[in-house]
Amino acid sequence: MRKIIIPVLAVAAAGFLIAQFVDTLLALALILAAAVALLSIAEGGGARLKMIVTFSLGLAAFFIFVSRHGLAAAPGFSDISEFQLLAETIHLNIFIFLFGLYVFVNCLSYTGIVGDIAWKVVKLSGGRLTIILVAIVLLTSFLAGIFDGATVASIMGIITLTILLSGGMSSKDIVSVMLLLVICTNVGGVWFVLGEPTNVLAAEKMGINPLFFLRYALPFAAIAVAAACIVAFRVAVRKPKVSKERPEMEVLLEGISLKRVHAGHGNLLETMINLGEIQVKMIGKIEEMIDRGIPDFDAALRAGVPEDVVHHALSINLNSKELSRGLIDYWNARQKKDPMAEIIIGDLLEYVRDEYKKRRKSRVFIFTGAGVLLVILGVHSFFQQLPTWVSTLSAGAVAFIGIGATAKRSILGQAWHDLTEAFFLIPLFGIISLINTMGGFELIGEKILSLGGTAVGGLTVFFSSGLVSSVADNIAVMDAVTNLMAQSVHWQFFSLAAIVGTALGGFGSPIASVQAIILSTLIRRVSRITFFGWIKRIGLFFLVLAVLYAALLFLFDLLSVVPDAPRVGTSAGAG
Amino acid sequence: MIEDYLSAEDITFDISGKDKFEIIEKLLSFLHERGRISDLHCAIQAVEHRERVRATGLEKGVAIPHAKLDEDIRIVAGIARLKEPVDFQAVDGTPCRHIVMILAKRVPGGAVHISALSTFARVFVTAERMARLDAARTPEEYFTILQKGDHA
Repeated sequence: MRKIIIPVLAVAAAGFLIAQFVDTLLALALILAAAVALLSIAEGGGARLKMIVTFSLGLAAFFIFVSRHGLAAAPGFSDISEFQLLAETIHLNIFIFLFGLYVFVNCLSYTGIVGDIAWKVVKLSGGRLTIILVAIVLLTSFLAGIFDGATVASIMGIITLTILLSGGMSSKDIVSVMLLLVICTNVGGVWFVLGEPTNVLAAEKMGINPLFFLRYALPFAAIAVAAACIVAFRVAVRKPKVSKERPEMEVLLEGISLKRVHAGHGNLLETMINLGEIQVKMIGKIEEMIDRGIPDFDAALRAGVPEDVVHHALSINLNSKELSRGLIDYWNARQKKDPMAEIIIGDLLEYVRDEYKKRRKSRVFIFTGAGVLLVILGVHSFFQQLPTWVSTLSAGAVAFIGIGATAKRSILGQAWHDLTEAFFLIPLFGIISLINTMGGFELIGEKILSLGGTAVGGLTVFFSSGLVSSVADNIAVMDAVTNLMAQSVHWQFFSLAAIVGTALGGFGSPIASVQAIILSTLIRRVSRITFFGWIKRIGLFFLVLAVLYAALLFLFDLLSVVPDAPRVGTSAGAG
Repeated sequence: MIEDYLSAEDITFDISGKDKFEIIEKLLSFLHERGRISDLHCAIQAVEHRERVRATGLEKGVAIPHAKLDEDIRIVAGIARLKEPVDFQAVDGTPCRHIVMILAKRVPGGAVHISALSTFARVFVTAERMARLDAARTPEEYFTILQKGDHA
């Protein structure tokens, strides 16, 4: 906390001084850049720390702006009735959209349908690793276009790790495959509007039709997926077959998964903190052990948290007292090399399988919800007055009907928790909006365009968004970048460059995106990977993809594939 | 304690069968005849379902088939010492001769049956005690050896 507070105060003070003696726009730009940079440091501290950073600096930026231009000049503050403008400034529609999507994906996770599909693939492939890995790459990329990358990363990451561990693959190869998943959940998912919050933001802000993604972004996803398939094939070739049966590890990983579904309280540590049942001095110790790949409940027990406290938190976290008790008993028995561990794991397996069987009934609602989602998005393609959040909210509502009574509250709790993780973005959107009000982005946009036409402009947007989003939050980067192109007739081409750029940047480092963070934590269960180790392992793929994408963008411009057009139905003017 | 879960009357030496499922059915029928459980069919289904998920054979010839039932029971236990050991896919690969059946009421949390399982698993640990259990001439003698092992 201390290592964040001091830089935040220093940045705020520097902002006030620059505004006083140099220029307000420069001060706001500094605060924005510092906020984005400090978020990288705050990443490990969770949503609360990120909110402290952005809300403090957002407040500083607001005061600087108001002290210079007056309250009435701030977007949404000129009139008390300007709620709509204020809502647009903080992108309220995107938060509603995301809430609907989170309800839907949490319902989806609850049914266990994705796991079943993955294991069906293993069965159909006859255990051949080449087919399994290529199928995983394709399935992950497909899902990453429809659901948010973080959810797909947690579900597919755990399934893949289970399959690879049961196949006795070396940790080096496992790391390679897991890194492919990071790529697939980022660039593999640019093919459709739902894939990433950045896609949703770009679509909402610029008024991009959902078909735009299928028409123009799909080739970029296809290149990444093809390259990932080749790498997956090379990793798997000449490797022995894996077991076609779901191993007991499935249960174990279900329990030790990074972020559990249908929970409502995030991960175990967050649950214990929320319940106030943990001493502050233990938190760092537990975090350090989790970082070393020790399961969270085991880390809590080792750190000295009483067993009943861990059991209570885990029961809430897993929405099941039985699973919680069983996991703790299993872990204790395994530590003591007690043969009872075998009996307990069998009971857990039986419990989980029965639970999934019950949940199969919910799947019909998931399919209906998915149908509703696609129909409404289709209608939105022709009638853009229909807000896109109607699609996810309706789909989430339909899927929610099929959820068992006891899990309903947890699903809503988890969806809300997922949403609150994005609240730190609100002040960032605010700062970006203030800079936009002062014409800052227009100025940079004009400078980029003056560099030499659409292709150079597009490539500048592509490379800058790719590089910045490798270390900074993708959504904030997308929000800022979309402002650059707000007034240009090439906005569709620039939007494509920004969408592809932020997706590419999303796997550039272990902190580049939520899915990168999730998968790097899973990777730590088999091997340690440092920040630079990640860059070294993934760097070549990143560079090759960057060059291929740049070439494709250049080709798109040359052939005028993406037409120029005046903008319609947008909210970009507000921020 | 072991006497919280069973008495000498819940132990039988008269069961034999060609496989573990036959043994399970016979042991459950024995408990049903003694009035310890009311729905034999449901109990067989539940125990066999659990056995199919993962075998319950432990080490040193002991197996603990078990299940949770919707019946109003707390814990029901019964033991069969088989004439000929039967394969229960035990952890150490040894065919099992001492079959401990445990049935518990289905309750949220499910910790009760685990403590019963642990109690029984504990009394079968030493080779010396296993030899005495193998040599026991009556169920009463068998029960006494178990009790002594539990209190040891």
